[in-house]
Amino acid sequence: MEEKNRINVKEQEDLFNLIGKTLKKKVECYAVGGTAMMFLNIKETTKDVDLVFKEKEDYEIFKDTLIKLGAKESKFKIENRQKVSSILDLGEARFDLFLDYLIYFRLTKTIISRIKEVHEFFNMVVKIVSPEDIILFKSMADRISDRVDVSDIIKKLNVNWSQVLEEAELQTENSEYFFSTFLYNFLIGLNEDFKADVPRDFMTKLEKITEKSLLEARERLKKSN
Amino acid sequence: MRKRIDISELAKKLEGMHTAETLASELNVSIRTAINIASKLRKAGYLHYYSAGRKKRIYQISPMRFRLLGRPGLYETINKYSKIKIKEPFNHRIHDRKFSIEEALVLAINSENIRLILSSLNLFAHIKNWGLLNNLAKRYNLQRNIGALYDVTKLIIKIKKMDERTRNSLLRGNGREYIIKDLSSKDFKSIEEKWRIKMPLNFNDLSRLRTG
Repeated sequence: MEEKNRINVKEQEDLFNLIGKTLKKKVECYAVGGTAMMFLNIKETTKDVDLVFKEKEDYEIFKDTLIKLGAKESKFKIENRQKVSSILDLGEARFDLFLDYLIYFRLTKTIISRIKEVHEFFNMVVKIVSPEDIILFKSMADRISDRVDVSDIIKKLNVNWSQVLEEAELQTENSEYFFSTFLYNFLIGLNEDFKADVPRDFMTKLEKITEKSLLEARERLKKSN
Repeated sequence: MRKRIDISELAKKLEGMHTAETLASELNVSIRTAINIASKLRKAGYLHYYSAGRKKRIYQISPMRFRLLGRPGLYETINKYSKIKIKEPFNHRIHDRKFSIEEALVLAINSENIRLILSSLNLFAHIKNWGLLNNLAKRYNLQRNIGALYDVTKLIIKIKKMDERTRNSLLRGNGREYIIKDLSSKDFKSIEEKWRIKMPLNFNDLSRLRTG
């Protein structure tokens, strides 16, 4: 497959300034993934700019503005068809836009409450999600690059693991997916590949929660059959 | 052989608030060495310090490099000019313009947050562009509220004189009855009547503007 271009912090800033100037109205979005990591100074470049919108109107206005600036809908599609999302290529950058969900993850009130940085680019307001939430998002995607990114977060920051656990449980409660199970598998892989320093007591708790949620699911399945 | 210090590892280990003494005891080095290490951390972007005159320096260390992107936003502007400091709920950065004192004052009053409003009143002493303040107040439907808060602040601290044109425009302009929903004090009745608004702060609250 063709290697995608990456954009650096300065290019991303210039791009957001241009979009912010072009937007006709103030639009709020949440930066997740690599984009958020760049704002948090954990990463230098990113392949895609991942943005989640809380309001449908903001999502539509932003998408229209990108198209006005010459962005083209990508040939790639995001797999979850139930949720609203778009992929657009603008110059060197690829924009992944989501409404309320990042694939399966919901942008909950607790995620919003943990936001510690807000950047304004004219009419574009970008809120940066916490590193703990980035870990959760990335555990679900679980690509090689996600493992590298999370390993960097763990190396560079003092992660609040109880927050990660709470959010994983909250996400699991509110959907049909086992986020804690994905997280557990992801962290096991991370430990094997990168010798990531994840606290043992956290892993024990996560293992128990994973077992419990899988048992509950089995019970539910039995009843439904 | 001397062990080379990994500065990012050190920042992660020392995350939090420190003085030179706590740094020295944590690293088991002399105070002079601790100050040198603090200087290295600051140059690498992991350390911020606060100092007030002869008071001890407080070092804030974060494994995330302190922000270089954009310019200071609402909370940093208020903390720079106000005697009443506020805790920043998040780091607000502006990329497209220099955030003005006038804008900070209007946005603080628009927030309906009592702490933010109280600490923003010191900013009246630093207003340079009354026309801009009036325009922003008009945009946020706060003209009479700003005028009333100006009059109240003037009773407590020394602030610059507002030009008559702005004052008249604010007096005739738009506004909200309550600065903070359903909150009104028993003080400043004459100012409330004049500006046709309800004042959320009483005299004692405002005395903090002098002392911080």
